[in-house]
Parts: sequence; C-alpha cells; structure tokens
Amino acid sequence: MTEALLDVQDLKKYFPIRRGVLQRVVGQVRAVDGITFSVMPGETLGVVGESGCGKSTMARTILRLLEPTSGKVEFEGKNVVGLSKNEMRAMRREMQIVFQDPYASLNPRYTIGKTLLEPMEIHHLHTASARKQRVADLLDRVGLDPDYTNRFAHEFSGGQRQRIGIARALTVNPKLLILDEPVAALDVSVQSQVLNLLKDLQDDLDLTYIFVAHDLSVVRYISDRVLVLYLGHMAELADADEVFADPLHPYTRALLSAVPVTDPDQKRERIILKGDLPSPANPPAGCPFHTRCPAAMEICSKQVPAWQEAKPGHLVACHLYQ
Amino acid sequence: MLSYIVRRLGGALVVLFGISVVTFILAYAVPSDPARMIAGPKASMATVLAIRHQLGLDRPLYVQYGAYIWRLLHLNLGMSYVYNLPVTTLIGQRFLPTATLALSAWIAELVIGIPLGIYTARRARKLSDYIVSILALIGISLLIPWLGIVLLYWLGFKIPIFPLGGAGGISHLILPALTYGITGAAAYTRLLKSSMLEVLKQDYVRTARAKGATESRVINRHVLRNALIPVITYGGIDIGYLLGGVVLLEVTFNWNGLGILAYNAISESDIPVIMGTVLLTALLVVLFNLLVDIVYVFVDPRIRYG
Amino acid sequence: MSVQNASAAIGGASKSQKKSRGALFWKSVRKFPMVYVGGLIVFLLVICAVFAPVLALHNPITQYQNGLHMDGTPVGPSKFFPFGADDVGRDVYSRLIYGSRVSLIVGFVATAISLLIGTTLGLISGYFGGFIDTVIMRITDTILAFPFLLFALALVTILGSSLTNVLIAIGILGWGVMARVVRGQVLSVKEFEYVQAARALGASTPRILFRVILPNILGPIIVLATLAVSQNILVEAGLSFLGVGVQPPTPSWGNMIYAGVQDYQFAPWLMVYPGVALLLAVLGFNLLGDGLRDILDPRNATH
Ligand SMILES: Nc1ncnc2c1ncn2[C@@H]1O[C@H](COP(=O)(O)OP(=O)(O)OP(=O)(O)O)[C@@H](O)[C@H]1O
Ligand code: SF4
Ligand SMILES: [Mg+2]
Repeated sequence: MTEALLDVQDLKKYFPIRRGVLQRVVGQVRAVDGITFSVMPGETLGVVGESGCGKSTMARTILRLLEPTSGKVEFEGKNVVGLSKNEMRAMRREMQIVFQDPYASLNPRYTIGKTLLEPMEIHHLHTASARKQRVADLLDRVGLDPDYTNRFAHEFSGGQRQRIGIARALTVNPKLLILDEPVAALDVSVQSQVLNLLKDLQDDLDLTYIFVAHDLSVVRYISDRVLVLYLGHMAELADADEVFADPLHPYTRALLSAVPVTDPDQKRERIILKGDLPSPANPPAGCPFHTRCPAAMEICSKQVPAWQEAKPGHLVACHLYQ
Repeated sequence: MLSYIVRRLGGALVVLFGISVVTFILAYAVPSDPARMIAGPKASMATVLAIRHQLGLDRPLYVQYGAYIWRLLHLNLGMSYVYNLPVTTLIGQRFLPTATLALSAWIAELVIGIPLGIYTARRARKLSDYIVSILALIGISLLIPWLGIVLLYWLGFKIPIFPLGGAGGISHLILPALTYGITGAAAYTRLLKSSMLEVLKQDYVRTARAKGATESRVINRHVLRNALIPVITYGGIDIGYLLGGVVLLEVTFNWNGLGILAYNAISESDIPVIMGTVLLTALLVVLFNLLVDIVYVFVDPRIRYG
Repeated sequence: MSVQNASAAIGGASKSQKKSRGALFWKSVRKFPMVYVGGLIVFLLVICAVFAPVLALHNPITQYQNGLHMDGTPVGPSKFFPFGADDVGRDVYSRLIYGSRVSLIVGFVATAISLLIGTTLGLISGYFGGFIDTVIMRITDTILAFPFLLFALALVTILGSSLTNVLIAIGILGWGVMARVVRGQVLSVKEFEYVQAARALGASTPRILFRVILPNILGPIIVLATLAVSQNILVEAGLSFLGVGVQPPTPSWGNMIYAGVQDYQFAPWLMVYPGVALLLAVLGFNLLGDGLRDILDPRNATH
C-alpha cells in the first residue's frame, strides 16, 4: 500500500467562550471534535455535513490558519502541528486552499497579476520574467485570458473569480488542495464548468483534493471517498459509490434522502430530521446525533458509538452496527 | 450587565493609572532639572535645592513615582511657585467660573446644533440642507479667539450690547457661549442628521407613517427619541472635554478660570499649576466617559453586554 | 475546446462591471461638488506655501518706516501694502503668504506623525487582539483623556516653544482617534478570506498588515487624516495665539491674529486677513475630508 499524503489523527479545535469581568473561559465551542482520516496521493476526499458542522474549521485547522487544540496533522509523515514559523512557511507550498466566497477571497486592491505574483514573491520562486510567464500560463491553465493580468477582481464574474482563486492556490505548485465549498456560491451552470476544471487540473498536475461541500450531488461527482461529519464528529467514511449505494449512518441516509433523484423509478423516502442542530458549545452526550436520529435507541444517549468498520473499507460511528 | 459595568470601571482605573504615569513623566522625567522647572526660572538656587530635596529627585524614578502617587492620593498637587499657594487651592478658586463657562458653552452647542440637525435631516439632499451643512462646516473651521474678537468687536464695541469680556452676570456669558456654540455645533448637527436618517429608514417609522401619523408627530414621537441616543452619548463625552477645552475662550474673553490659570502659569513655567489643571481635566474626561457608558447600558436596549 | 474558446464561453467581464474603480470614484465625486471646492482651496494653499518667495511682495520680517503713521499706528491697506502694515510696519500680505508655510507644515507633518503611530498601533491591536489589544486600547484611552489643546500647551511649555516642538506635541497627541478607527476597520477586514488566503500562502505578518490589510482600509484613513490636518492647523493657530507656538518675528497666522487683537479697534485688518486665511485653509481641508467621507460611504455608493 502506498503512503498516505495527509494523515489526520484525532484532530480537535475548540473555541473558548469567555465571560465575566476577567473574561474567564467558561466553555468551549467544540467545532471539530476528534477527526481521523487519511488521504492518498491523487485521490479526492469529499467532506459533507450541514452548515456549522465544522467543515471550514477543519480545513483551516489542517492548514494551521487556526491552531489545533489537539491532534496530529501529518503531511508526508511530517507533523504540521509543531512546525516552526520557517518550516511552516515551507510547508505552505505543499498544501493550499480555495475558499467558498468568490467575492471575499480576492483582495480588491490587487490586480489579478499581483494576486498571482505575490505567492511567488513570498517563496522566492522563479526569476522576475519567469514569474510573469508563469502568471500567463496559470491564467491560461484555469481557462482565463492571460491578458486579464491588469484587471481587478471586481471586473470578473463569480465563476471567473473562483478560477483566479484556484490559479492563486496553484502558484506554489502544491500537492494537496483543500477546496472549501468552491462552487457553492456559483450558478449551477457555472458550477459544472468549475468542477470540470478541477478534474482536469487534478489529472494534469497529480493533485490531491479534500473537497468540502454540503451539496451531495457535487460531492458524488468529484469524490473518490466521502467523509460525513456531524457536529464536529465523524459519522461515516467510505468510497463515494458505496456511500451513495448503501449509506449506513442514519444521518447520511437523511442527507441522501434530501437529494433530488434523477431516476423516477428509484424512489426514495424523504427523511425529515426532527429538531434543530444542537449547539457545538453544548453537544449531546452519547451519540451526537441521538437528539434527531429516527433510529435512536436507549444506548445512544449514554454511550458514544465507536468508530469502526461495518463493511470492508466502510467506517461508521453508530450503535446499529456494533 | 453588572459584569460589564465592573469591567468598565476596571478599564477606567487602568486609564487613571496611565494618566498619572504620563503626567509624572512630563513633570519629572522629561525636564533635565525638574526642580528648576518646578521652581520656575526666577527662583533662587536655594529654592531649587529645597525643592529637589523635598521631592526626593535624587532617588530612583520609581520611588519618585510612588511618592508622586502618594501625594496625589492626599490631593496634594504641590505648591505654585508664582502664587505660593497649594495648587489645589488655586484650582478650587477657579473651578466654578470654568464650570459655569463650560456649561454655558455646552448648552449653546446643543441649542444651535440640535435644531439644525433636525432641519437638515428633514430636508436631506435639498439646497437648504447643503447651505446649512456648509455653514456648520464654516463654524468648526473658525479659530475661537478670532471669532470671539469679531463678535466682541461688533456686539460689544460697535454696537455695545454685551460687555467687553470679564466675569459677571449672564450677559458676560452670552458672547463666549455663542462663540463656542458656533464652533462646536457642527458635530451635533452632523451626528443627529445621520442618526435621524438612519432611524427614518427603520420599519417602525414606516409603520407609524402608514398608520397616518402626521410627519411632525412621526419626527417627535418616534424618530427623535431614538436618534438622540448617539447625540446624548457624544454630548456626555463632549462636556467631559469642555473643562479643558475652554482655555482659548477664557483667554479671549478674559474669563478668570482654570484656562487663564494655566495660561498664566505657562509664561512663568509654573509646572505644578499646569500639570494640576491637566490632571484635573483628564480625570473629568474619564469620569464623564464612564458615566456615559454606564447610562448607555440603561438607555439603549439594543446592546447586550456579556 | 481550446483555451481561447473556453474563456470566450465563460464570457469576459460583464458590461456593467467594466467601469474601473477610478471611474466610479469620479462619478461619485460629481455627486459631492464641495470636494472640488475643498480640493481647490488646498491646492491654492500648497501653491502659496511653495511659491511664497515669488508671491510675497516684501520681506515678511522687514519693518518698513512707511508702514507706520507719524503717531506710530500702522497704515491701512494701500498699493504698497495690499493688506495694510502691522504694528511695527511689516507687510501683512507678505506675512500672510509666508504664514501659510507654518500652517501647512504643522498640518501635514503633525498629521503624518499621528498617522504613523495611530495606524501602526491600530493595525497591531486589531489584528492580534487579546492581551496586546487590551493594552494598546487602554493606552489609547489614556491619550484620549487629555484635552488636546491644554495638553499640547503643557507639552510645548515643558519641551520649549518652537515649531519642531509644536509638531511633536500635536503629532503625539493626535493618534488616539486614528488608532481606534484603524483597529475597528482591521477587525472587519481581517476576517475576509483574502487575508486568510495570504496567510495560507505563507505571507509574513508585516506583509499581511501593511500590504494586504492596510491598502483595503486606506479610505477611512485618508478621510481621518484630511480632517486631522484641519484640526491640527487650528490647534497650531491656537497655540501661537497663546504665545507658545512659532515665535515672532516668524509669521504664523496664529501669532498674527494674536498681535492684531490689541489693535482690533483701530486697525482691524491686522486680524481680519489672517483670520480669513485661516478659515479658508481649515475649511478647505474640512470640505475635502467631509466630501471624501460621503463619497466613500457605502450607503452613497454609485453602482
Ligand atoms: N472563531 C470562532 N469562534 C467561535 N466559534 C466558531 C469560530 N469559528 C467557527 N465557530 C463555530 O464552529 C462551528 C463550526 O463552524 P464552521 O464554519 O467550521 O462550519 P461549516 O461546516 O464550515 O459551516 P458552513 O457550511 O456554514 O460553512 C460553528 O458552530 C461556528 O459557530
Ligand atoms: S448511534 Fe444511535 S443515535 Fe447515533 S446514529 Fe446510530 S442509531 Fe442514531
Ligand atoms: Mg464553511
């Protein structure tokens, strides 16, 4: 078996809640609460879950844009968490991120040329003339006219901006791209164009993706494996086809039932979840999903279900399968 | 809420500490010979030596600072070299005249600024709004002594309606207050205008209008009450600054208050007096800021304090 | 599909978005014409200060005998002295022209000092937050607690009266408001994803502060600075009026007004002209700053 490119172990990110005169810490928002997975070179891991389940926090913690509360993030066997400033700067060439909001993710004061040049300046890559050439190549690569270098972000449409965001992430030749809902803000017609671009880029540049989304059909289209998160916890992890064909976790089933089906014969019953998403500041005891789970049993509110293989290569955290 | 107030008090204490450090540095650490500075240029060497010993200027700075705080806590601001009286006594004598002047100046700002604010908000983007706004801008662009003298020239000298400066009854207060009002009103006008325009957009105003309330009723009942909140806040902070802000006014109108005291102290390098007035006015600013913040908690229901 | 076709299919920048930022800015300027007036006044002021030797008719500190009547009172406006002469026979017009230098130097240099301190502290305070933020903000509160003019007066008295000390005093007292405003701006801008993207790309903290965040909050800073210039010109005049600013015979509008006060009953030109010059200069910066504020206010945005 090949070595994993990225190995995340028991990653946690808690945000302190401060109150009172001395701003003492009175509680924690457990945005990411013990996540373990690995990503193989060249694969795409889809990460899904409702809004607020900690997807973005997870992405940012892996990149150390947020300091993890605990856990390990190993990139090619090297733990990212303890790295010094300089080591971290070097590491940033390996892992990059594309953000969800095409409007907030580009600096409005920069031209596109500057947006793409800056990362090369930071890492002292290439000579000045080679940098210019590379900017043109990158724009071409993501399907934009290389003559656009002197324009500002506001002159572009959402889809074009997202392409620029992708080009910016590629400037430093990363191996891993974390895509945090890269198409969620785009029109459906533009979504597929950007998704196709991402697929092409992956093939051509041997990229590895962590693809975050709350839209399951998008995830199915692009992912090799899918990780389902609920309230900062892992619910299910399996090959994409397997997750869609045979979802095991009741939460995954509920999510899937909400996806419109193209084939009318393949009718599925819509599962409506009762209640609201609990607050990650005050998560339920036992299985985090038990307050809304249609299949909840007595044990569910008392004991945390173990993370284990229910079928070969199909992991799930649910008492139904223990 | 209680925790917010306690935190706010704590912040104020820190600022008071900061003020004491700054005034200490200015009076004792910056001058090369503070004793000479404090005694004034005309003092004899014996006086300087006495002061040096009395203030312990040969001891380390932190010891001196401790002694300084100790004196402050005993309301001892030192002796004025010029008057040979305790600074607290001098300040005590002048406090009331200055407070009277400051209060009149403040009232004049409100009396001029608030009606203009209402007027410009109701006529927003009309010609009259522009004219009033520019007049208000001219107001803040005027140098207080200059405007004061011009007013004195016309309303005291050419057409002798008001006295030519000095202290006395209400008539002595009118010209200085008017001067300050003209230069300070624009801040109130602008603030009230923008906050009224903001409130006018709110839903409950539309509801009131839809219910058929007359325009002036809408303005009086609904808009003004809400729009005045930021104005009150600003007003409270403004009055805190006013005691120190009327120096030019006092000098122009020969109003014998704290400002003149400080002004006269400058030519004599009477440092204890200057630092005493600076300290007092800064204390008042902190006090009024604190009061405004605490009152705000009760007035403004929109903000929750964790 | 070739790359060219692909980009054509995605479409160039849409028409409505084609206007550059600059064009939008000038379009808004037309909505606030007073900015022009302010800008013009400021421009003329700078011309005055730079070309003072050319524009002045006489040496500003020479005392002319024909500037005084036989009884020693100054002569009024005439061909030789367009704005009259002062109490020792100097040409008021030429002094006025040279006086613009003091006002502008104080206005610009003191503001630059405040800007440097205030922007740096505001950036640090807003970006790092936590304990550093608390400390910086308490220091800011402390500085803001001192009434400006009185404190400047005390400072100049202790440091000694000179143009340099006036600059320093006004400069180091004026940064409080700037630090607060900049901090507030940083708090909102730092959450934008392009700041996170810069971090993810390995940008150093100084680069993020000064190259990524600062250009994006320049608008409010420029407005603040413009208004600070007007305020600082007034404070300088106030200090000069109180006798602790620029020392005579060097002309400044403040000390000219002060000198004119004694004689205002029989030689009103002594204080009228410098007063009007001061008013125009301060008004110019106020109009400019106010107008820029309106233009940059997103509620007034032209789209
Ligand atoms: N800086 C922060 N301080 C406190 N709580 C935070 C912070 N950032 C995120 N959270 C909380 O952490 C939880 C997870 O947020 P996160 O943004 O990671 O969710 P998400 O899955 O990306 O949601 P979305 O689909 O809306 O992007 C939320 O409850 C959020 O309120
Ligand atoms: S463990 Fe229980 S509550 Fe949790 S998903 Fe499984 S059945 Fe539902
Ligand atoms: Mg997110």
